[in-house]
Amino acid sequence: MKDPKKVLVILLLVFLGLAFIYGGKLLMAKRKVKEQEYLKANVYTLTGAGRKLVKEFNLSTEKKELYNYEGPLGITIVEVDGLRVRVKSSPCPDQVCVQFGWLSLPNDFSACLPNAMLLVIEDGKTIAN
Amino acid sequence: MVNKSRSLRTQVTMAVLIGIASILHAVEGLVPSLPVPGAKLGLANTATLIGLRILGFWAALGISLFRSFIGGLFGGSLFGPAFFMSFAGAISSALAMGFVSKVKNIGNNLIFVSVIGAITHSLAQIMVASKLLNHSGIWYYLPFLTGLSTLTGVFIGIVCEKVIALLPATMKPEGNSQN
Repeated sequence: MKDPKKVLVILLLVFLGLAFIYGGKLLMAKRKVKEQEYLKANVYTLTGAGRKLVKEFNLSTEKKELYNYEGPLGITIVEVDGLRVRVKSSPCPDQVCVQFGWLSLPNDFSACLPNAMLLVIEDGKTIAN
Repeated sequence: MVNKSRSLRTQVTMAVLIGIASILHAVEGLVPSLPVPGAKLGLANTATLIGLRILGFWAALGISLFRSFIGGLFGGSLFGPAFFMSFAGAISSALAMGFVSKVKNIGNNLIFVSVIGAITHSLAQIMVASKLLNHSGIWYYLPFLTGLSTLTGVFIGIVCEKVIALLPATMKPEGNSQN
């Protein structure tokens, strides 16, 4: 650990890592909602062959809604609150989908692999498949 | 190599490492990940890395193979989609680390090997996830995850160096005296 060359390598790698994180943050922040573009929140179920749309919300400021998605493990609750959506609760063990938090930008997503659910924000012009 | 892989000591060491890796894998799944959903420290990778250093490439591959099966069994996600993500990550990172450790000059540097393993791990997971989810929005996470895995890779590499320095002499890697 005392080797100065090794310390240099560590510092370089840490710097590289921080730079990538910063770049990633910039990339994510670049996605802005364009004016006059309306957003949709789509709930998909994941099957072996691909994904299937089960529920579609048009996001608008005054909308407040809870939606119960039924997956193989149980019920995932999706909360729509104005222009943002989130997975409120999920029966899965790892809770990754809840940790995604509020979604409000196009292409934001939250996925729950154990319960086979995908929640994506799409702009209204994209045709859902 | 053949003699070495058949010896009892190698088998016992490998079994212990698989056990440690499986438990770390399962415990890590319980800890919530803060900066990016699904991102983890990669503690289970320490066992693979130590196995790679003291037993060689095939043992390391075996360790990561078995630990993703046993860890999946513990976590209750065996053969589910989450299992395939961890499986792809574990195998590809073991392959990449085995390859890098053969490279001259940098192969001996555990930190570098660990960083390569961590980056390969997250890359493989993103590829599997974008296939499973059928959604390309996940690629936005790639630079972020790459940076994060560089940091965790450095950390795991340092941990492994410390652990290997503490191992009893009979378990130390042979013909490898750079420390």
